[in-house]
Amino acid sequence: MNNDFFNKVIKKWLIGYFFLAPIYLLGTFYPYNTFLFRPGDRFGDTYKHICFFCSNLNPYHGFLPHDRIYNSVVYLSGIFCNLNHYIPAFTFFISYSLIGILFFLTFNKTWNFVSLKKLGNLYSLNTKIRKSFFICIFFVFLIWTSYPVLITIDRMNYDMYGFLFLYLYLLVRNDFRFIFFGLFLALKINYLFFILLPLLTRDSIFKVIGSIMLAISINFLSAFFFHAELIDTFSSFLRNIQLYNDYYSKIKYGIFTSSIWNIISLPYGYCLQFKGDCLDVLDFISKFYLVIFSLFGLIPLSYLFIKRRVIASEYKLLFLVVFFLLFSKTSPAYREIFILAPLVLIAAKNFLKPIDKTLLILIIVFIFPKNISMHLFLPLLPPELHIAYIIDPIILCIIYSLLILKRNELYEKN
Amino acid sequence: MNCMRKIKPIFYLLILLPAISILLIYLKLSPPLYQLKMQTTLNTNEIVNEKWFNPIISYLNKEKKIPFISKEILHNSVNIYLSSPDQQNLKEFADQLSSLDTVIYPQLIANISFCKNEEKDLNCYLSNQIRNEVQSYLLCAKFFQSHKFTYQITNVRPSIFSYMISLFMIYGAIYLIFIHEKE
Repeated sequence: MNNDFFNKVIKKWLIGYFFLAPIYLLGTFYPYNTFLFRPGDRFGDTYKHICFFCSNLNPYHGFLPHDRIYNSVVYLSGIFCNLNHYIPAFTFFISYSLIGILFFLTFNKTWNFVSLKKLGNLYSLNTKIRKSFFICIFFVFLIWTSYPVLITIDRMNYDMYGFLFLYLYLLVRNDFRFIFFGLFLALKINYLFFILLPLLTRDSIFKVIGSIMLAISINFLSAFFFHAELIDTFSSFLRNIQLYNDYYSKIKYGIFTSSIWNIISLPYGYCLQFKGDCLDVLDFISKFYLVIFSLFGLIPLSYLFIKRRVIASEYKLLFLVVFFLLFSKTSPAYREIFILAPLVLIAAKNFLKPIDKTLLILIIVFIFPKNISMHLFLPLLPPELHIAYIIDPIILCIIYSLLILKRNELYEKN
Repeated sequence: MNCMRKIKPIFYLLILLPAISILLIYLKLSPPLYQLKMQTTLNTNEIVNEKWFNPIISYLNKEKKIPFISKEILHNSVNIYLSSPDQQNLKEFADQLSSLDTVIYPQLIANISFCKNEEKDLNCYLSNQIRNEVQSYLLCAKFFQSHKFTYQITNVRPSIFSYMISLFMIYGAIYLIFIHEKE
């Protein structure tokens, strides 16, 4: 990134974000402000599951089965039941700090401001290199404390590990990256979408199959630890996924922000508020959603496959992440953490094209916390419906359409 | 050199063997699995069918504590009842449920007494819902106890065959990633 662009635009945005967001958001409380989730449910995504596992029950049964959709490998942390309050938190914060270090290394790779020898006496460097070093530290720190990362910590969701493994897959250059990719796929079932990533970057199909096999076998082995039969475990897991989709695509919930389904399903929410039975509306909306998905989702995706030889890899990643967030019916705020990977990869480039600058600004607006309830302006609306619920999908749509319309600027040679 | 190439996968397998053996020992220490054998013809799917659902509903309506109990809650309580590892009486079952509840939703349960404005406060609404759920679980437990369903548990482990399949898959994955294209 060149320093002028950073000083002129990005720095102002980030400083504004850093100082204004707390003033803007801390005045109100949940559900009027959903900056973080309910305090009673803090760290729930890890601890709820481990508690259930430790009480010797099949984790896929019991209370709220529509929330039990993690792959079985996640429950392995429940083996340490006696220390269950420390080990998950410990691994979680190690991975959090690792992500920061990896961001730093990404910038160092292209800017070359620090080698291990020079790290000791930083002030012996010339001013230009020292300046770029401090810009990097500043940028990494602010991305590190951005909203998607904070909400991931607040929920203690396994998307943090997922992001770490995906980022390691992108950074590591030898064959070990497929091991990381296998670990990434083993974590959640909806990560299977990212199989398209190695296929787009022309990696060997056998290595991709190898990482899929690794993911399956890890899940299979971890399911042996459950107090249940294997067939029952897997069948109830699949049932819970269906329950999850049914449940969360029909409710208005503060944390599920960045999907295009939010905007499309607004008439359904409006109908629910004033009428009792709205199944016809929901049926129509789901058909409309399918049409939008096939027209605006699948056709550009197939174009990406045709042009995969010329389009630069960071744009492919950005396209896939935006596609993943926009077109899955339920995409919670903590899943936005995946957009940090293309953000850092684009920002770490030596030379920024005009489209890079536009994309950087859009992504930074996207990770800005916008969770203030619309109930404050329009009292008719429910308190959980916040501004991000509408603005986030619109920003993603703008990024998506930019990637499609300015496709000629995305080539590697330009 | 050709000979070396043929031997190479076996060489990698030999390196893997200690790791596999450690894994096997570790798995052997893992908690045993339980297979449930009901002495009656009852199982989880049947109880949600009409044959079992209606008597339970009529029983719960007699109590007149909860106007309606959903099939989902009933299914879950049956699962909790069946998957508990030891034969236990109503009190233990209730304790287990309430301990689960306090582990999962400590803050929400603490807030129950302050819940007056249910429509505006989402936390309050949720905690009331959970309290209703717990009550219905306890009623289901009473029903099971009064009808004296008994069940038997036998310890089973997954066969060595299924361990071997998954370990073989790990080996296959490592072979595909590291070795396949170099040969």
